[in-house]
Amino acid sequence: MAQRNQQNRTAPDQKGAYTLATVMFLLFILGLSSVFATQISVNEQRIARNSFHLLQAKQNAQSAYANIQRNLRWNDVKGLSIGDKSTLDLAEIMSTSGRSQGSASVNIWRRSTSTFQLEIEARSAPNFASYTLSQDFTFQQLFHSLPQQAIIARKDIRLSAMNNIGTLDNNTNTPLVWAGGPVATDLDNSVIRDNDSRLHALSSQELIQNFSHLDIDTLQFLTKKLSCDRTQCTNADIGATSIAYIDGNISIAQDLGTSTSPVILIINGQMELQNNATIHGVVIVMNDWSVTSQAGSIRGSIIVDGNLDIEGVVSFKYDQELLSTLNQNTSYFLPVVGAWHDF
Amino acid sequence: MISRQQQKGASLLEVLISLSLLVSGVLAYFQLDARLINNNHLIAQKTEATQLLQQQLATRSLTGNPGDSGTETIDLNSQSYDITWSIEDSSFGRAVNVAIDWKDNKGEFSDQTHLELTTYNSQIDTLALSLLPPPTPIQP
Repeated sequence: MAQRNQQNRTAPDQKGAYTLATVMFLLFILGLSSVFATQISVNEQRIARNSFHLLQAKQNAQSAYANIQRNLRWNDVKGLSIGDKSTLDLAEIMSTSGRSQGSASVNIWRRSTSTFQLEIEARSAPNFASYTLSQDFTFQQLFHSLPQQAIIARKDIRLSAMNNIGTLDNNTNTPLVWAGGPVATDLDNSVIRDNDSRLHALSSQELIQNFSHLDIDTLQFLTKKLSCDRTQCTNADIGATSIAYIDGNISIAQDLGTSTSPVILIINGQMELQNNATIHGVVIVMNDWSVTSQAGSIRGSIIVDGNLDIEGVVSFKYDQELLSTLNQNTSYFLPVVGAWHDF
Repeated sequence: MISRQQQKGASLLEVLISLSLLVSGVLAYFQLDARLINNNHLIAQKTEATQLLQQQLATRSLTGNPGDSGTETIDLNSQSYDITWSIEDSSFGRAVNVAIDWKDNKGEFSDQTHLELTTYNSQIDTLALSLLPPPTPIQP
């Protein structure tokens, strides 16, 4: 039957059918090439997008690492037993200007008494790419040599008779006052070491590095910078890092630090110590410190990069145990060489 | 039985249908092609912008100071990229923000022609410092 139909078809009819078939074939080829071209374009788009998301994930990991390096203290991990893991939430730093650019989760393992392992897994937003890095680290104590005196001043010291200076256990075997210049006071000479030309010759940087591993610039990066210009500064302002850098004047009207959580104050300005407020820790004044009529106390040590002139009633108590606690608590993140891995 | 006249008409109709199909197919193909070319340009621009972004983040992180900010235009493969950057200090570290905008083929800015990223840098070279032996402290 089919054979008969074919035989009945005329030449023009067949030409039309061939044309249609050819066109359909051409359209099919065009369609195929469109599909391939679109597919290639979509793939290229994905590659371009993925390279941006990978960069995003990488920067998230970098940001998390910077945050850990800057803010992680011994206090945060001292409770971990060997083999234990702690997870930190870093959601806040991944959100900039209200726009999330991904996420990062941080795990810290305690590998031994002194070494830890940090693992950061960062992701892009949306969750297309991930970047993982791992780094072993330990903690470095801030002071390689703890201050041994209640008062250290690079230049001259003048103390009024009303000042109360001593150690917590009244051990006066070592001098309580150490100065690069002369010391004018009614105190017994046995507790004073003055006119020390070696101390006087130190630069500001050398004075800091006489006690600390870090120079003043690096120390600033580890601190929480406060603007306490004639306003109150509280323990909450200083926060968990226990180190504060105040670029300006500061007025302290209440206790700062405690005997178990002492603080380090680095002051590039004038400090006003009021209302029997007590500072527990180390105060580093980066210029002269002049006190007229105040009545606070410093338990720990004060280092003055200049002249110290006190007319008011200020009590200084040197406390070695407190300084040792401070040194332990403020230990900072120190990466182990050759222990960086990224994936 | 189909007459001769009817047979000619059928052929013409098939040719007309074929031609209209071919023309519309070719037109659709060219339209798609134009869109793909535009898309490919955008992809190439996005890739270049991502590389510039990475470069700028590294440069600004290493050389910038808190409070610094600026804009600059970089021409690359006959395409201009407007770069805006700023550096701020925060408790997380030093925040370096870089944004890149460029014009698409129609000469317009859009979400598709904008990339932005913020990274934090601790600015602490504790490793180098820790390798230095501590100075011999002076004591009274």
